[in-house]
Amino acid sequence: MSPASGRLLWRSALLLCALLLALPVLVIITSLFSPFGPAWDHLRETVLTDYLTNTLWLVLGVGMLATFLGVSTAWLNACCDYPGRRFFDWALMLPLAMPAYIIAYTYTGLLDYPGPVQSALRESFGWGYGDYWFPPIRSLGGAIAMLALVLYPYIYLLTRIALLEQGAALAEASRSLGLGPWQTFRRVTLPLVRPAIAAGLSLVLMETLADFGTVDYFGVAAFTTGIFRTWYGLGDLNSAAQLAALLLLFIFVLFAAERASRGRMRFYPHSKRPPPRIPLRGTRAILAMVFAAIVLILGFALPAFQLSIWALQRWATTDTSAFLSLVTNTFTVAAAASLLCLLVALLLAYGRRLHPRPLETMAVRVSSMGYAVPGTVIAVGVMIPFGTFDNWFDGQMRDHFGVSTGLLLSGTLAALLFAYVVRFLSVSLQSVESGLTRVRPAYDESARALGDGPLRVLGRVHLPLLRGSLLTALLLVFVDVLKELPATLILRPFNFNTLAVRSYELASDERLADAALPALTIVAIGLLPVILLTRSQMRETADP
Amino acid sequence: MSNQLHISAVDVCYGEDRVVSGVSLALESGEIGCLLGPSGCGKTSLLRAIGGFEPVTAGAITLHGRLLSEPGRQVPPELRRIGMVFQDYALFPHLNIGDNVGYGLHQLGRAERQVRIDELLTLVGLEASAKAMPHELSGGQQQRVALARALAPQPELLLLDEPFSNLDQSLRESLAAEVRALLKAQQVTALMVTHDQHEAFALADNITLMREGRVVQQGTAYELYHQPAAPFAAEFIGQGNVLDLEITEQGELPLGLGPYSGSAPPGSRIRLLIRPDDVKHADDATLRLPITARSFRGAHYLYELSLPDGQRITSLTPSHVSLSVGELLPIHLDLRDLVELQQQI
Repeated sequence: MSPASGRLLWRSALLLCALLLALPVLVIITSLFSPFGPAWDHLRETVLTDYLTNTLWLVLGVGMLATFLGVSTAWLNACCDYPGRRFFDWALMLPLAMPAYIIAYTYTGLLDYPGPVQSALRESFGWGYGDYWFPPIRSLGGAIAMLALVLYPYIYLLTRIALLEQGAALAEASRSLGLGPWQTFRRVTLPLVRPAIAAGLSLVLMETLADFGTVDYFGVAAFTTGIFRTWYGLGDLNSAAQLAALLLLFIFVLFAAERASRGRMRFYPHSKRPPPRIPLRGTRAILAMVFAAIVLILGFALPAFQLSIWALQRWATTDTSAFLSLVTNTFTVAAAASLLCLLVALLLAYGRRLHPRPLETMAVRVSSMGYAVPGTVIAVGVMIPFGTFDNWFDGQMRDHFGVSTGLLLSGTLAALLFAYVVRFLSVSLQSVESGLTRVRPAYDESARALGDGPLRVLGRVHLPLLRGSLLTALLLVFVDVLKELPATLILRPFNFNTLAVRSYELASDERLADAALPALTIVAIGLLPVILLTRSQMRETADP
Repeated sequence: MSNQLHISAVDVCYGEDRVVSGVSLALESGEIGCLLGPSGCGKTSLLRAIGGFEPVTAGAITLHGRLLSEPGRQVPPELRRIGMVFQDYALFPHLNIGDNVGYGLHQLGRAERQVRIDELLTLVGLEASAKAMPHELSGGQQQRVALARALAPQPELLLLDEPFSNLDQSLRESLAAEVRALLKAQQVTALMVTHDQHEAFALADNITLMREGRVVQQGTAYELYHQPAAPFAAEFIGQGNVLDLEITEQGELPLGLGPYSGSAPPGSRIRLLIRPDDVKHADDATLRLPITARSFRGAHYLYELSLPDGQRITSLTPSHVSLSVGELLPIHLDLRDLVELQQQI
């Protein structure tokens, strides 16, 4: 094969890939241009305002609470010193392993009327039903709390690094110019970490908009639940797609706001010397410890403890073989999706490395936008074209051969895997690309000059250098698929269950204790990438 | 003239580690001083102690008679009226050039502040870049912004921490001369830290040579070069060879090196610093030494020569005298500035 035709082949594969991966989002966007059906009028008259206001409140509430939790813990751990800080440095990342819908059922079990907290209150004060007020957990406020408690680590992580990397020199420059410590914090430190806070916040809000499990379980009518109900209840895919398009609009605004907040600033790590920490003593040290501990307990320790208790209670009656087949199912589909993502990511990353031209670069960018798109939206965007294809193919076969093929793709594992690749490709693409930047072109050239052919270079230079990144890519997608709920719920083949779907079903049937074992499994495996992330982060920002 | 900056017997410690011990130093108004020494000699720690970023564990620092630092009492940096140019400039990346320069002028009104900003940007020749962001400027321009920013609040003392180390070698000396002219014109008292003797020579009136936290020698560049007080000073500043010699019975240098004008009695041993430019080529010289190595320096050859007892000296010879290794170079020693080092320092 000549180099020119090889390049053409590579290029067309890359562009085809990008087009396929962009298909669901394109389908959703084009739905805005199709006529609005009667179901849409019904939606507009009844629930659309609820969707809008609830989603807005959710974004506002989660944004504020998560920013408060993330920034305050980041400041404590980057700028102060208190007993136990080294432990909290990494432990405060743990809530990231808890899917919000899982702590939602756990807290419902704890705080609902029959739960241990209210029971204990009634017992000790002799109250009966209706004698007292207790904040209802299954509410908009409850959903805000649940989401903020597990999403704040995004802000914590990025803000903490930004504070540490800022180094001491800028603050010292400000002091030498006559500004005191608090003025310096307000005029230098804070403005410089603002982009990091904004980046963390935009991740938090993206996850908030994508959340389905929590709002659904708490009965809060938001966009994601609306999309699901319009499809499942009203059976109107087109209106579901139009709702999804509105949700996409929210996300687009979010992106634009995050971009704009960066402005013309350019940030680079400034000084090798880490900023001096404020040593906290006495009451302040205790307050800092208590605050960090409360955040950690509420976001991780308490729900993990409650889940473990439930799982142990039901251990004797658990149908082990059913559970094992559930685990096998989940792991198989997660492994397949992460391998597929890795292959596509390698194709795209190498394509761009070999031919770094605008079209290729754009193709790569388009293929990786799925991570910003909620699973519900992708699911609808996959169902529509797959269904259309199935119907068309079935019609063709019947017309020409007199056989009916039925639904070839819809409701198969292929459709589900495709949706996973669309949603999670950017995760593996990021790992692979950051790994590839370490393989400098000069390495290729020197290996070639030393007599290795391209394939041997791949095996002897690239593979050893990339191994870590490839494993990370596999692990991250694996865990993301494990936690994914709405797309799986909508696209899974009939009677095909994953851990996430099963725990959702059990919890929806109020069988909270039975939901604990699959939920705990998800959390336990979800800890792996958190540990990985924390370790690499701690190594980068290691301080003596 | 009054002593502007006065440092007496200062110690600086990091934990158990004493990085500056017993350093004393005085700068007069308008004088430019320099702390010179290899990395790790404590010069930057001393500078940071003057700026108020490190506490002193012994001694005292005063500025215009105002006590700034003593053990257990440190005036915070923002109250010292000391400006600082940081090694990596530490320009605020979220502020444009004008706002960077105006940062320390927060007590002035809007209009006054603008006037002062314009004045300083004109002074450093960057009046056109007021709206640019720091990363849009070159290294040399950023350095001038850092200087303008530090000078804006009219500090009583300016500290410069390795101010030229992030610049190209070719830029350094010309910039150092420029900065000196500017500081002199503004009558700024300044103290610079550097490990580069050429920067120190180009900028400073007065050099304090440091090693392992202690002062080795204080003086002008000429004094440090021609009258080094210790072998370390001789080796760190300029090039040269230290020879171990025994004065002959006739009161001359041995090995036919010529007459001796020092005070050591015949028969005693001395240590003599010979600079390459003191070893001069002369066709009629009686002293002829074999060449053991040579390197071409453009206008000059640097020849390494072997004395009869095996000690080596180097000679800087105009490059049209081109000899190869093994040939004899006729030389005579020009010992007008005889540099005799005490034994064992």
